[in-house]
Amino acid sequence: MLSSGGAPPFAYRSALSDALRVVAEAWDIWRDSPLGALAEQDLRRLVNAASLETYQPSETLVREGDPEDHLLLILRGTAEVSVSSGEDAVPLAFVGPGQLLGELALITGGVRSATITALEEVAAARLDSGDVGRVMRENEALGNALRASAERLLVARFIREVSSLASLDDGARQRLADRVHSRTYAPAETIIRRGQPGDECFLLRSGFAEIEVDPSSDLPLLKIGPGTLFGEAALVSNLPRQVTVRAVEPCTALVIDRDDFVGLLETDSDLARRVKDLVRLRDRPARVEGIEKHHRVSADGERFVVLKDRLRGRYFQLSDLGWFVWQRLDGTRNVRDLAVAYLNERGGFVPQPIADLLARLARGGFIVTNSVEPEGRSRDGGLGGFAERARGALTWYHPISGIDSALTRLYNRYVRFVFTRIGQILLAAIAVVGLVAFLTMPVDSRRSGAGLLLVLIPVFALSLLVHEAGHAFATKAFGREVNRAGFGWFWIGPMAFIDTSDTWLATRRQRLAVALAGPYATVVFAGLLGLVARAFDPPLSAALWFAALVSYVSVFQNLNPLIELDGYYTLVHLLDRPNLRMKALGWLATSGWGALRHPSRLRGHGFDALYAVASVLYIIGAATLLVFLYRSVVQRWVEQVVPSSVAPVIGWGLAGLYVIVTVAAVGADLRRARRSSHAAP
Amino acid sequence: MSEQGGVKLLDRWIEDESFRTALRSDPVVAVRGLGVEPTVEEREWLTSIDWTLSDEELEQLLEKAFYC
Repeated sequence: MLSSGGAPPFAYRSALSDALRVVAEAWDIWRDSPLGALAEQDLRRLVNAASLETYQPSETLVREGDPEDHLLLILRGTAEVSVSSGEDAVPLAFVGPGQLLGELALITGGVRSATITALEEVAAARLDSGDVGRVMRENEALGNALRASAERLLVARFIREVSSLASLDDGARQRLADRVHSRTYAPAETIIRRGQPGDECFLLRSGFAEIEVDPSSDLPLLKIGPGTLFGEAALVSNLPRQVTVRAVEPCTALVIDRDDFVGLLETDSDLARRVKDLVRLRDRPARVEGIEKHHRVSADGERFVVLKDRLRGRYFQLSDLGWFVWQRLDGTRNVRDLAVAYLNERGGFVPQPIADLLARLARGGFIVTNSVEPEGRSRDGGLGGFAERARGALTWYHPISGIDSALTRLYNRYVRFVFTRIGQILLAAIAVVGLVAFLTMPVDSRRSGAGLLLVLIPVFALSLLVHEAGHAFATKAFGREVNRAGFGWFWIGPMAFIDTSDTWLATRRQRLAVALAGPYATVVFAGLLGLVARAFDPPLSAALWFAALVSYVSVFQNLNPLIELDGYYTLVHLLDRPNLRMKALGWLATSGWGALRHPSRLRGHGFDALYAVASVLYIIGAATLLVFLYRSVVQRWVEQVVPSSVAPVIGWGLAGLYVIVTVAAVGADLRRARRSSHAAP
Repeated sequence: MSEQGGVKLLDRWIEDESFRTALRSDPVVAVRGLGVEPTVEEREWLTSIDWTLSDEELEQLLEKAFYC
């Protein structure tokens, strides 16, 4: 073991040849270690005082809690540093050649604060603490080097205990510990100042500080203590500091530079998600200017508020809790402040519902936030990605705004009569008599020629117009606004639309009437075609009869509750369940399959499951009906145009196309629903 | 729950993702995990938190008609 005076520099526990190889490599390792700060003469004194120890894999080099009496310099092999947490050992770092172990105990005194275990065969030089302490007292450089090494270990341990950085793996934690630097603050000293740019974030290591949101605000100051990460929002959002943080007592903070912090987020997606959540939860959002508030009472007597963004034509429903929060969103309160206010005034612990509400308000653009926007939609590959791209290419429209005043004038001058009792009786009579005329049309009168298309195209265009006019004027009849109208393409055919979102401010019965007004107008129009067809001879009678048929089929198609068509909106209003489709699909996408194996999970989601099952049944039923209608009514007509062997195939093709389009639409929405159900913190 | 106790829970809730998750699955056990024994009244309101938020953006009602 030891010493001066010609004794061998190391005592050997392993094979001599192995030890000789270690010795040959050892000098460079000594020089590169924290002890390399010593003058060569002093370093040689330590080398001569050291002994060689070797450890087999899993063997303990030092044990947490043992008295500190020596240091180890790793010469070969890798070991793991860990600390106990309950019954578990929590790994802190890996150590290898050139790293000094036990210097922490030398600096802090007392017992070992970590356990070090060999991961492979390890060779280490053992130094008596007394020898090192003596040299340290004589050599300031060595003392500083050892203190710096101990500090890195302490910092790594501190970071491990900070919950917001808990997900860092050992390597990332060690890299961060190597890069941060400590800064101390006197009482009342400002650490960060509101409005200033931020290039650093902080981990409060000791002492307490207070956060001031706005000097003019009467909100109490929030006190933060050791382990709190702050100042990260400015690094993530690139916005100026939103608060001032001031030391209450002598404080020490670990300072993390922007590049280091951003680098960490880029390499650790879990940490990036946690930090974004943290920034969002600490954010102090403010209401967007110009939002209208409409107090409403639901069909079952529940009071709620509907927010209306007139500029963008968007609506948001607030419960009692939502209204409580909305009134306080003045840019000075975060989730914590709002939850404390609710706790004091109403006596409930609701931070999560408040956080969810703020996430939804932010997504809808009803509040201004300083935090990171929710993740953008990522395009996936595979069949799902294909369905989404197909949806984008096959469903588009051109909106036309500013039509409400023209529609109001039209309604007041020409259409108001239709919504009187007499007008409605007249429309009903046309619908019923026209349907009878259509059904009883002699087969001979349905035969047509090649000129059919010339009649059909303008009739279809007129039918679209009548359908949308039904929605639009019904909306006006209930005193609501028509935000916009437009035309476009919907999967496999041209489409027109009317935006009746303003009926969210109407009663449920009025919304139902508006949703059904379009199909009803089409039924009346088809009845009119059926009546007119009886007045003409073929081929015109056949063309009109066929146009009536297609109109009736389009009504059936529009009542499909699986796609956002009239049938779906009718169901939404009937059940008074806004966003029914996305909620049911969201549940199906995240929990539906699990509920098949565990029926208890169906509790509270009975309707979601029913909607999902009904969706499948509807697709099968609609495809079957399509084939039946085609074969019994249309096929004979088609056989006049195409070879009789091809005509039946067209029917199956149409049914198949219908199924594909519906399944693709549902599939694309399932993906959207799954994403939105994971958006809130 | 006292204001001080509630605020302490809130701070933990904001900083600690695992506590947020635990609170969602079993609020009483999560609070006990912090070394706090909730009273009967506190247990009642912890277990009666309504996670199914009815506040939501209302979907746009685009009343469509199309032909194929």
